[in-house]
Amino acid sequence: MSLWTLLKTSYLGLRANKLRSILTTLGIIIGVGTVISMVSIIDGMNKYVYSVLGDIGTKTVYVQKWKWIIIGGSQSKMRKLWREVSRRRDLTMDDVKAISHLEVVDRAAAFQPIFSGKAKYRSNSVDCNNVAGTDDQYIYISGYELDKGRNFIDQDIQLGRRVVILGSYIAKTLFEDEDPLGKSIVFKGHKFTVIGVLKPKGELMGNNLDDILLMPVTTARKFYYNPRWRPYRVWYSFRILVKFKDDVPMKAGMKMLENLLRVRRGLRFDQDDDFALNTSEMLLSAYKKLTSGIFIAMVGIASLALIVGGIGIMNIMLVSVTERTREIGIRMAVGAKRRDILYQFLFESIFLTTVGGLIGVFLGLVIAKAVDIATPLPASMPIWSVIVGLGFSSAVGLFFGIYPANKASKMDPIEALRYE
Amino acid sequence: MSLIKTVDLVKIYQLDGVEVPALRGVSIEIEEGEYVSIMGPSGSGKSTLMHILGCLDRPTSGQYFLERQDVSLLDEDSLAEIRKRKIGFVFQSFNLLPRITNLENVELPMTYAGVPSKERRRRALELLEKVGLKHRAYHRPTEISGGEAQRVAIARALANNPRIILADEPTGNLDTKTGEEIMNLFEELHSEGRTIIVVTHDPEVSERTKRIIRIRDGKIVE
Repeated sequence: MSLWTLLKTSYLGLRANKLRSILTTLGIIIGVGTVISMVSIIDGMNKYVYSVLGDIGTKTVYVQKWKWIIIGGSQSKMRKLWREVSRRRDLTMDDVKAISHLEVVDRAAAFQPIFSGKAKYRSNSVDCNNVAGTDDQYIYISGYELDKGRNFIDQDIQLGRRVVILGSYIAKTLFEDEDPLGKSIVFKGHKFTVIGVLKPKGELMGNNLDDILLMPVTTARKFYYNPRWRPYRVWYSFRILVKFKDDVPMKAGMKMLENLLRVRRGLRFDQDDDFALNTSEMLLSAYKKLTSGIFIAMVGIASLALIVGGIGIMNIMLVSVTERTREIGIRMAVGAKRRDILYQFLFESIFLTTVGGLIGVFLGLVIAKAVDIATPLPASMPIWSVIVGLGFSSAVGLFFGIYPANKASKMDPIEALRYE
Repeated sequence: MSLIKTVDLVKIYQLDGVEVPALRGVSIEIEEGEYVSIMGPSGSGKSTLMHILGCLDRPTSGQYFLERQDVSLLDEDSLAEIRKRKIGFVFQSFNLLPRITNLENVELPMTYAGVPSKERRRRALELLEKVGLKHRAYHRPTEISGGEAQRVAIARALANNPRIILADEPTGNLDTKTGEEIMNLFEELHSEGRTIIVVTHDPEVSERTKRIIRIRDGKIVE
């Protein structure tokens, strides 16, 4: 019997019981649909996260007092750890200088985050959420570009001048069509002169990158830094951004950096680092760990759905075989071998689940698209998920179809012909 | 040697551990081109004999030579092969598949014989024309009368051009007039040189055949 004839026979067999066929495949449809939509969403999330973290620059190292990711540990252990972190010595401007003199380092920038606050120019005001004291290196490391005006110069830093560089969003909100250069703004009670405006950079994970206000690090520490405030000792502590030269491997660079800081901070060989080198790669690997966990759980749920669906298929195929006993007898009488009958029913169940798989893939696509439109998650469908979805649904049809098909093929033709 | 020759066929069924003999030593010979009826009351073993002659079943003991080949020794696949190529069945209750068209029913044996679909279609239409039902080709068996259904069944039996037509009470479900038409069709096939074996309990049917083999209690009576 040719494949085409088999296909047609299966189709006719299933068409005879349309509703039943549809209900039976529902399990498969839902199972495959769930997997496909989840895979699409996770895949979209991955692509998004990778592009975002790529933007931050996986090559930038953040030298800080605390590690970004701390996994595990009891609550009391954590509390102890944070107390220890808050007692650590701050990094200093001298550290920045020393680091920038390292052979492997391309650039190093000082970064002193400040609590957000309101900036005012005449009657206009704006909430600045990302305020920091830096030096002339920062805008290069973090990928900003000057639109107008100038960068910080050494005197700005040494003298702690009251000058600011504004992100495009803040400049636009405060000055509208006016030229901000040389104008004075007020930020949290102190007067500053605008010396530069940055080019727009857009949005990242819901953060407006153009909502930024930069001032010399010395100015920031003089006016706003308060070491008695716990946040300034931990979350808002002074940090250093480091970028290695292009030909320097990340690992080697970090090793040099660590050694330098250990020496500068006078750590003995038996003492742990009292600082941390953070990279976005660490975030990436943590993210990967998390999503792979979700992925495995999903595969488990999906296989459960497919097994349940498969049992449904087996059940309905058994009913179908019994109902069509006479047909089996007739087919055998006109010359069908046991193998022909086996293939017929096996093909029918595979056909059923594969069509279910196809519908499921389509459904998953629709759900993924809907998520893509309705939420900020960009869903994208990897082609392998479609292939795996279809492959698995066919495999379920094959596996759960074997028993009923085998039963059909083992019938006695005489008995089968007599069946009413 | 004859087309069909059986030697001492015995068939014993096991029913709840009790042995029930259906055939107790049947020896018959049927020549190529004969038109024979096998006649007997119900329970005589005529159906069992027909199943064995049609290669749907195997005897418990004894031999069955079909075209000089001892088919009582063959495995199931080989029996299926013989059913496909050498035997055409006509049943009392027509046994057409209700979901497919008459044409496709006639094509069915050819699909298992691996005849290409164009050839299949052509030959099936030819056969339907022969039994006078070309105009019903694209109807389903449920949409035609019993007499017509039986003629479709005969067309199906002829599909792979078998040497033997085995008919089991072919007029049993039909009224007298249509029954006669079916018998006329068999006569026509017989005149073309085909071997026809009709199993029946109806004397009116058996009278129209050239030879009657009577069976009673699993034995040939004359």
